[in-house]
Amino acid sequence: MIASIQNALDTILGRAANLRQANGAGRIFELFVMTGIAEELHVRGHDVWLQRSDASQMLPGDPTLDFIQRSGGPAGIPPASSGASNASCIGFQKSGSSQIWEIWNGVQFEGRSGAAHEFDLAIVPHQVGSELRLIGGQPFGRPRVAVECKDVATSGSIDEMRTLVARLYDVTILKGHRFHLNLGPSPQSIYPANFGGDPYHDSRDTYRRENLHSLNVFVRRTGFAKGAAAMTGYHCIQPHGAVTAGSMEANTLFSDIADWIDANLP
Amino acid sequence: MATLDPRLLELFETLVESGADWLVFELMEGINAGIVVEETADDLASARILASQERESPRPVERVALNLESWPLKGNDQIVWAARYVDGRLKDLLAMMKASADRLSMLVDRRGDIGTKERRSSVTLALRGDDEVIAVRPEGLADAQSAVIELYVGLDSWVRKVTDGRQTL
Repeated sequence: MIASIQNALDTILGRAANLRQANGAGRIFELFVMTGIAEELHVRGHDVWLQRSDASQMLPGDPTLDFIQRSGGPAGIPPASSGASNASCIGFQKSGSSQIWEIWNGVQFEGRSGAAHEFDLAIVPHQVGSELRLIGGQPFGRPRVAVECKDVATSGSIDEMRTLVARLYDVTILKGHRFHLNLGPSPQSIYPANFGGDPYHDSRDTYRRENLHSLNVFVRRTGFAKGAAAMTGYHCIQPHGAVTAGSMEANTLFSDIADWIDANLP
Repeated sequence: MATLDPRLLELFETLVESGADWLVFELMEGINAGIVVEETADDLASARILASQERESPRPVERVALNLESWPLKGNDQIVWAARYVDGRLKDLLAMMKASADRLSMLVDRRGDIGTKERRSSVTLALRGDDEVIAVRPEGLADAQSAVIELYVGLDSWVRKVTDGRQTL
């Protein structure tokens, strides 16, 4: 045992006990990216707030201001009636728009195959969250913004990219899928929700058009091995490496996502 | 497969004893991977442009089906890499936690008296598992950050000792 190192580690991990959890570091990275996006949206004049799992907003003076992340097994959205002790999210409304959006962390989506897929960060219409919070469940369809956060020591491989492409493929609902999935007349690209026929939420006719109608981001704390970015162009995945606290790469990431939101989300 | 330098076992044992066994796994993964040739910042910026284009650009042949290029970390290089990794990893994690907590607190305050510059709210970061909730409050985070210097000194001293003074952090 190295006493001086152990003393320092005992203080660090004693005071920041989430670092004793196997996935604690990964969740911190996700929170860093999530809050970076939220701050950038706030700076741009959009309305941004923190939301508990019972759908209440966190306000100054509230007796508890706990922003909760899940560390257990992946899950969908719990019912609001189960209280405020489940995962928090961040809500936002673009300036001049009536549409509200939610930024989720670590929520499982249901794919067309029936398999569940966790997205580290997902931006979805508020209507989807609102509907799910009635009785709980998993969203079905593709988030408008999906961010994969990799907080590992090694450089990103092309296998990681394949995994994200496969996940996005399975959650994509195209117009042609409606018949196979018995989805009925509603042509929307994510369920459950009612968008009142707003064409923005309609599913597209090809994967490429859907890829370009959403934002797909792969964020790594470390870098990408040479060649790992080869699949990103065709599948419209934005790779961001070396994202750490205070880095230029982090600023570029937050700015790029906010630019896309400004230009594309209603 | 890389060969693990046995001098690292003392560091691994200390990390496990402190509850940071996940850091041991990361160190072993990093050492096993060695130094890997990576996409440059320009490569990634170009890839992001391609990813947002309506029509696919002609494919740059040299970027397809490349083999992973890497070289192993050996001897004292492995020791220094591991010590720097532990130091940088914890320092960066605490900085990300601090930045996140500050942003969350700012967002809560802006829901109140808009225009008030005085900071009042302190959001607690909570990690909820199946059986327990771990809460990290701002004062705890500050204490943890203050121990980072002590960690650096300890790691530097260990690197000097096991490399017979040939290397420093």
